[in-house]
Amino acid sequence: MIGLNSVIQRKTGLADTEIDTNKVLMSVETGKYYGLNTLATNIWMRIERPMVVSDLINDLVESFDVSLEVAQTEVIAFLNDLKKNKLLEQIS
Amino acid sequence: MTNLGWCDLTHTLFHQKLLEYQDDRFIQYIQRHQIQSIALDYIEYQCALFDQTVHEKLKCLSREIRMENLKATIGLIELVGLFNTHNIRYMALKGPALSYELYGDIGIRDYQDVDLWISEMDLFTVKSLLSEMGYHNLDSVDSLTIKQKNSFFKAMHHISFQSKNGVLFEIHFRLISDDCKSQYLEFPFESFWANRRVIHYNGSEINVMGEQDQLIFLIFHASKHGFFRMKWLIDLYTIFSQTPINWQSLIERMEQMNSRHLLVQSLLLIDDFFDTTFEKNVSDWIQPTRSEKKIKDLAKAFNLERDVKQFRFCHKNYFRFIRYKLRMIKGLRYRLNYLLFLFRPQNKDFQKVKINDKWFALYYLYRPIHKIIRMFKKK
Repeated sequence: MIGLNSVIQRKTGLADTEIDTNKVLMSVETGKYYGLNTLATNIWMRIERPMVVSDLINDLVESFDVSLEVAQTEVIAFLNDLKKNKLLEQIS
Repeated sequence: MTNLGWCDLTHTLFHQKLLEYQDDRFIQYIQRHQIQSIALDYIEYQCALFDQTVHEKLKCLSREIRMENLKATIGLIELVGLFNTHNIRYMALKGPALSYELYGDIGIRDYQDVDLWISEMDLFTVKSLLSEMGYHNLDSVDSLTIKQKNSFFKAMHHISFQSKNGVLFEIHFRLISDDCKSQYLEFPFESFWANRRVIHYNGSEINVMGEQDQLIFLIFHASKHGFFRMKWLIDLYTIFSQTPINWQSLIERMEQMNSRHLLVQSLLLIDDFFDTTFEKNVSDWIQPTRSEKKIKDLAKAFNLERDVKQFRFCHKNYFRFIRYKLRMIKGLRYRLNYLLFLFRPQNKDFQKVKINDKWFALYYLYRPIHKIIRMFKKK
């Protein structure tokens, strides 16, 4: 499971494009399309290189009008979802 | 929507032609030029007043292209992985790699297939590897006779495959086919391979041509098709307006390949459509000869032609295109070769009519007659 101290990064073997300002992804591994909303697109753009989850959440709290608690719960759930769909790699 | 770094083009022919109609004719125009996403980006950047229904249609078309491009890019990543595992040297041409490099997104350019260039020496290895991996060979020659096979390989410069999920691949084993061989014009794989670059895309590494090689190839490719599609001109405009060009070296190479006229026509067309100002020495160099002006004017007319039917056999642009190619190709021998190419039977002819090798020459009669019959049937 991904937690606050995990280091994460996008998986390789993905293609992405922008549709109506949001990202749509496709994975070599699953061959499925994934659509991201605005916030998810924002997160996706930030995790091109390895990143500590807590740093990512702090960045998002600064950029968006959201409390730390809400951000922690929602972002971690989203990252675990990405991992489950083989779009994200947990480095440590 | 991503902004492609447009500058003010409101007074240009490109702007005028793109926004000439704001109804279904606009949709036909952008589809004919395969610039769905580019056109959407442009009209949104310009905040051009647009009919809402047409705007929505365009958005829808752009979405479709982007989804198709995702599939094609995944296909490219898979194939590149396969080639790397089997030590097959390749360079990706146009398609997703060029879209990513020029526009920062694989979804922008419209590409119907994925093109890769391999060494001719690796052709048979690649053919068997792809067949083994479940790719469907669309140019199977198994049923052809020896003479048919020889003729086929002489005329062809690529073989086509389709992956299980429907992505089309063109595996090029040479870049210059018989319809555009020209004196001193050469694209040797080994020297292009030595200049290759690697594009990093979401953790995947994709080999592409060196910058100048790629530019020369794109000029050649667009010229070969008479600049029939605006997307090729936009690619070149983007390169010339956004990347530093070593003009001296580029001009020298084009002159060595006896292809000055191809570079000149590209620059003149860019100037005609995008009102671009080039450096003084470049502007001086591109002063066209009569013949260069003629070839540029023909290409411009092809680009401006709205009705694609006009390029079909015996239609208005068919013979103009032959004239264009005869001006484009340098050297009498090569021009004759092109004329002969027009009659040379192709794989589809072999599939349609089986003629014994002893009477192979009959195919040269069959081809034009068949084309004429087909034309009348269509009419």
